Amino acid sequence: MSGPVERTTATRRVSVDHALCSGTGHCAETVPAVFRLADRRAWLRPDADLDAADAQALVRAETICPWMAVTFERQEST
Amino acid sequence: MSEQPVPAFKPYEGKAAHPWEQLAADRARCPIVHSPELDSVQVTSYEAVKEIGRNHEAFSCTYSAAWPLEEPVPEELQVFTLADPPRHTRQRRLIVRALSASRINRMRPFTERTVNDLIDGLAARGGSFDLVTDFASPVSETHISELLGIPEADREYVLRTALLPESTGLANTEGLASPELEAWSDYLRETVRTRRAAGPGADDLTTTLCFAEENGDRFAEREIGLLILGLIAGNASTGAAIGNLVRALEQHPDQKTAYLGDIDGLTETLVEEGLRYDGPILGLYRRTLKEAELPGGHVSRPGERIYFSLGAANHDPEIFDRPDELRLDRDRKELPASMAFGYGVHHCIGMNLGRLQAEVALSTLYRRLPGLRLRPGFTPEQVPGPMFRSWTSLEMVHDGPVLPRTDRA
Ligand code: HEM
Ligand code: SF4
Repeated sequence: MSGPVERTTATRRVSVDHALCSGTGHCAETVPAVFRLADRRAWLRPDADLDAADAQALVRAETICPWMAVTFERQEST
Repeated sequence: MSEQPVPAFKPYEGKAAHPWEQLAADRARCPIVHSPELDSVQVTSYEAVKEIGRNHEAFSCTYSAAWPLEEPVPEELQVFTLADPPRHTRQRRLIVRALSASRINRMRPFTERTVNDLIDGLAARGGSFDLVTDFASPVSETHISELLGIPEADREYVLRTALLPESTGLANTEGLASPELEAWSDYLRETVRTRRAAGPGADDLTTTLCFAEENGDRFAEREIGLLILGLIAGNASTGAAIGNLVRALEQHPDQKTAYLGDIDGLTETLVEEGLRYDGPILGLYRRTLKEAELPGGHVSRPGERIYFSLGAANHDPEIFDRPDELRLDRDRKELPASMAFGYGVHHCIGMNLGRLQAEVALSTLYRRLPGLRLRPGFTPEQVPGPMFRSWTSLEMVHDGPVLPRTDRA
């Protein structure tokens, strides 16, 4: 394992589905603070501060992933 | 507007065996320049090529990525690189799972058997063969037939007809089809009906497409037919890729020696670096829908037709040191991905299948055929035009005897 593929905070959830990811690296280029590439797959950086990450960039990463492997959800906080 | 230089890249005038020099001259003078020969804005820098892929909202495929027409193609014909999101997104979502890296890896035993069978056949031909027609094309045709579950008896017909330019319906949007085209539409429609009647059990991609639903609706027969065509057309790049890889290796004797010394360790690298050096897609088109800036300062205006060269991007010295050399010792971890499979939402959906075929093809050829080389004195030729890099024929020779199959322990 080269890191987590799913993380949830109080307000956000980001995941990479390894049944789909084919390692193009688009996500890591779009949001390097959150995604990294290793062994031809994308992983979440264990130390990433999800709540501080640029939400627009996360939406772009989700949109541009050619394998539709990235999910970014915002929970409307309670 | 200032006087712009006329680009050196002239892909219709007897295509250079290595267009990198022309493209390098253009990039060095002006990486984004109007080309009278292409009647388009020509883009040759890595960063600008990537930006065109990234910004699919400004740079549209709906006028066709093969030659943008004056009007978008009719919506019902828009598939893959004739489509933009959201129509494109919905099509792609259906298919990514079947072609993902993890799924395609399971096909490896099939690939090994197919490639070894073909090499057994080459052995029977004596010491020479045509790599393109006797090996690379059959490898790719066998794979797409397996993936789509095309019945054995129909294969020749389907593969031949699918690659006719008229088969997408673009040349014939009035619906005034010739008898052959009509027969073809009937065939596709019938295929969808038969698969639907047979039920969702089979695991070929045609069946998957037939039973896919979006908000409770199945896809139209016509759309499924066009998606199948798109997959067959896209897959044809693999045959060209295998030829380009062999030719690249043969042109770099020191790299070939290194490769033969460590086939296990270097095959993945050879395929990545070889597709950077000479991938089958030289360049593609888009049409600008809304004003957008490209790296280098060019502001693209709505209506502009853009030719962007993946080959030129892959030979950009800003990104790849000594770009015009095939080098297996590049530190790939430190380099950005090559543009051989494109960039962005249209990034090649067959990448994993293409890589698998190329890796097994190259490693098995060089392992089993001692002394494999281009026939001395043979000069290969390129297909014409700005879109493809593909050798029409590669005459190879080897010394016997052929070594045992690699797919049986
Ligand atoms: C080494 C082999 C291959 C190379 C270098 C290659 C290259 C490419 C490139 C550069 C694109 C992007 C087109 C664009 O942006 O306009 C593309 C798209 C595509 N390729 Fe491949 N390809 C290969 C193999 C395959 C295979 C095996 C298949 C079929 C299974 C395939 C099917 C497709 C399809 C359907 C598209 C359109 C994707 C979309 O618009 O979303 N390709 N390919
Ligand atoms: S963009 Fe998608 S396919 Fe590419 S590495 Fe990231 S998750 Fe994987």
